[in-house]
Amino acid sequence: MTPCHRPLDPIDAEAVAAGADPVFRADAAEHARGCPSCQALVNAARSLAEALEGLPPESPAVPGLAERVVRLRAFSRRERRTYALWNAPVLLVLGIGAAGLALLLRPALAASEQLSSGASALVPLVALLRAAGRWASDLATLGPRGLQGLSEALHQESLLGAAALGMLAPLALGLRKVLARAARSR
Amino acid sequence: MRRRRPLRLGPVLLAPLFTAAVAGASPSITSVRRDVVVSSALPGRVVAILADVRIAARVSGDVIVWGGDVSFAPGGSVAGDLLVFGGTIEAPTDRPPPVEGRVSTPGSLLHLYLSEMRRAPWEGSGLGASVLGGLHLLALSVWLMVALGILYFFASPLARAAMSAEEDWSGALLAGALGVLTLFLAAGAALSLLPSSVAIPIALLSAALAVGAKIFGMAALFLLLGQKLLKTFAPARRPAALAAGFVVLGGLSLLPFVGALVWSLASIVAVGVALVSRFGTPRWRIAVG
Repeated sequence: MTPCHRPLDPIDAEAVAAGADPVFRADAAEHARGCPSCQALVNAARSLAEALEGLPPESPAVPGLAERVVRLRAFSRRERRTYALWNAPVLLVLGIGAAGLALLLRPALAASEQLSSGASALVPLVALLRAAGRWASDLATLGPRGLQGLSEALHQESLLGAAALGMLAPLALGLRKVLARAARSR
Repeated sequence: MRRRRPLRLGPVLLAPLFTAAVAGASPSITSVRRDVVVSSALPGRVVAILADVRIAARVSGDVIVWGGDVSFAPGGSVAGDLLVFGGTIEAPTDRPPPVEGRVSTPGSLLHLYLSEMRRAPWEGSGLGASVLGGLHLLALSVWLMVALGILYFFASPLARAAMSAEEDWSGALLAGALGVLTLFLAAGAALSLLPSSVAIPIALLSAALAVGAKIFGMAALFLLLGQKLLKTFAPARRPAALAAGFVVLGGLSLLPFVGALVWSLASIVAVGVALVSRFGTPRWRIAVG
């Protein structure tokens, strides 16, 4: 099936399947009729609705189901693309980052008598980028060597290894129980 | 310029009992919980765990130290690399450490930044509060950026993880504590008992799982805290809720002492949230034929 260049929002697919007015695209129903990919979305939504309607009436209603479904639903495509939803957090990221850079800049500004202020502003930024690069490089190259050294040293202390192994078994069992209990209550 | 943290009396008093004095008979030194003094030329390398190392002669290989400090006496030098994980380096007065290879403290971005700013890792104690605060704020901005990225791409799993944390706080805390200990002990047992070729991948895998769980779980905690603060669980308000929760936890992390404590506790809960919710995967998948 050829993928659609303007795929329907899942909410619109459900609306079309239910015969309701679409939320995001007024031409959703018309588009789905001519687009196999979007029609498949509508069919899937319709099948789900029919399956839910086919449940025996004596099935007890799950308390708070609607709220949970709304709470857990994914973003619609429109929500993902709507900058108004994201602008405050993105501005916060930029603001905190700028404040951090400004603090790093303070010592460098003391040297601005020798440099232009623009160049002195770049010093901490460049140093930070280089440091981040070195940090990643060190972690990749030296980490395994450090672990190898650690392993060789610990091999001489077999008691430590045995103790770790002895404690590992009850801890892992306990963790398994806690996770199983959590899975049952979900 | 401060050179070293306050003297620790324990290792000093116990040194005569536990110090592994080295006469150069062995090509390499490996020591666990015993301080090492290299007093004569050593053709091999030094590996020390939970122990301080004092170098008073030439070491031809690397010096690798986990959880201990390294200091140099006159005449001491290292021909290889000097790697210190979770410890400090005390250099001779007004000189860089006499190390021909790389000097590295891989756990600390701060030290690397200072060395890039032409201040070496062993001079770290004299830095101003503004540099520390600046790096802290930058780290927080990266945290928020990563959390928003997770929310953008995995909104539903993140919301599910936040909900599972809300429903069972004590379970998340218990699972976090047990999970961290289990991963730590699994790595420790593997490194102690298995060959390095097998143990190192296991240790790296354990670390990667712990880090992944912490990052995902922290994002879920930010979201849950913000949803509680804003009193809304509407999907369209999730980005704002995540930012609000982040402001509270990130702001607390800036407080001295209490901040580190709160962030550490949140990290343990975060690992638990990720494990309990299985990274937000649904328990049941709906398949419609």
